This record gives sequence, structure tokens and C-alpha cells, in this order.
Amino acid sequence: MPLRPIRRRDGLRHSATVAALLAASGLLPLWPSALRAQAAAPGSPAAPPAWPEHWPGPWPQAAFQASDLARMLATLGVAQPQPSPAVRLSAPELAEDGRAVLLGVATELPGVQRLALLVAHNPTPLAALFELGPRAVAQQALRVKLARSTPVYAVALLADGQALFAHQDVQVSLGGCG
Amino acid sequence: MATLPQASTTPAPAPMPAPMPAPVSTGPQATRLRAQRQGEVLTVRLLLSHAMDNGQQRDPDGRLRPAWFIQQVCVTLQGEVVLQAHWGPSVARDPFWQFQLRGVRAGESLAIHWVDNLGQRRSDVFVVP
Repeated sequence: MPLRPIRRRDGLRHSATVAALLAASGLLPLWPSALRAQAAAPGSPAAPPAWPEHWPGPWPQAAFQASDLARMLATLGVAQPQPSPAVRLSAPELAEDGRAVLLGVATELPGVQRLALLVAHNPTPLAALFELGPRAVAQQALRVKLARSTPVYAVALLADGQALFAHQDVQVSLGGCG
Repeated sequence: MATLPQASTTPAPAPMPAPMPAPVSTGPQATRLRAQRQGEVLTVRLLLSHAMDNGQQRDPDGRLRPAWFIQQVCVTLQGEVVLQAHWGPSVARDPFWQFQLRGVRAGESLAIHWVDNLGQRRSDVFVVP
């Protein structure tokens, strides 16, 4: 007879443990960082991490499948890219570890809507495409993987449909994709 | 044999029921943020937590790990989108990302949302220093 209540109690205890684990791992909607933010700003209205209303459109799959810069821009409906000294690319001449290489793109040109970073010899050349809101400075830096020594490109897409780019060769000692 | 001493820090060996290739990191972890103000420009440095597997790496037992990477990141300020990023599998593991925003006031809430190619999501909210 005592078997049933003990089982039920165990079940309750286990489910409590599982719930605590889920909460700790962030799977339950109890975000620690959100709680921290609210604790840090008690005067402001509670700020739960609401999913943004204007989420970016679908992930541009065709752009990520394109095999080079010109084809990638074609999928975005942009004409031939022009090299330009107004676009600055920061990349190391020599990367010892291709698994994490910091690439940067910056420009002072007006009307920049999008910035892109490409790694020519990677299986997926397009690494990142940034869509800038009006308050974002046209400057981005991101750590990417380089499979082997390769040219890298920084591209600025302007509101008038122009695409300007800078490029540089990076020597890689240890490849980062394989 | 059973006489082998067990380190107290090692967790009890959990049964591994998953026949699927297990992801390297476990579940989404908090995004870390450092922000620095210079005049009216706020420089934001983010460290996201994600395996960013490009589908070409192998497990120690030789099986290909399927592609698993963050595809989209959205930065909102006071609930308004200020910056969006589309990422591919070439982005490095545990991505480091730096960007700059203009005209951000102290005390405003800056949120980082991401979603990966398996539909997993995470949001982190920070208060601008």
C-alpha cells in the first residue's frame, strides 16, 4: 500500500528538479538577464525581452549559397561592385588560427544601408550581411572562420543601388573549416 | 574497479539516451555585452554563445556534425529595431561582434535577439550604461 504515495512524491520531486534545471538552462521563459535588467533599472517599466515586432525578413539563403561576390550581389539585386578607397576593410595579413579571425568594415560614405563581409575561399563565401538602421554607425567587426589563405571582401551597399568594396589577402596558417 | 576514487566535482555520469549527434554546447547561454561611450557614439561589443557548426566538422568518432549556426541577430533599443544581421556558417564559434550606435541615452534598454537554423532563439536585455 505505501508504494503509491511514495511514487507520487518522487514524481513531484523529479518534476520540480526538471523545472529548476530548465529554468537554469534558460529553456523556460524566465530569462536571468531580463531579471537582471529589471533589477538594475527599478524605476523604468519592466522590460521583458519581447520578441521584436519587426524581425528581419527571411534569411537570404540565395545570397549565402552564392559562390562569389558578383553572384552574391546579383541575388540581392545589386549591379556590378566597384572597388573604392572609401570602404575600409580591417583584416590581418597573417592569421595563425583560421578558426577565429576578426574582420572589420567601416565607411564614412552617406546613405549606407547594408554592409557585407565575404571570405572568397570558404565553402560559404558570404559570412555576414548587416542591415543598418538610422542610428547605426557604418562600422562592423565580426570574428569569422577562414578555411585557408584567401582574399576577403568588405562591401558597402548604398541607398542608390551602388555596391563599393575593398579587399585584402589573408594568409592562414591553420585552417578553420574542417 | 570500484576502488577508483571519483573527483567530487565530476557530475554523476548521466545516461546518454540521445542517438542523434549531440550539439557541442548545451542550450543557449547568455550573451555577454560590453558598452563604451565616446561622445554620442556607443560602441557595443558582444560575445554570443553558440557552436556555429558549419556542417563540415567531424565528431571524434568520425561522424559529420550537422550545420548549426545563428542565422539572424536583431538589436533593439527601447523595443525599436536599430540593427539587423544575417549570418552564415562562416561566422566563428561563440561569435564576437562589435558595432556602434548613435544617440543612445543612458538607462535605455538594449536587447539582443538571435535565432539559429534549428529555430532555437534567445533574447538578452541590457541597460545602457
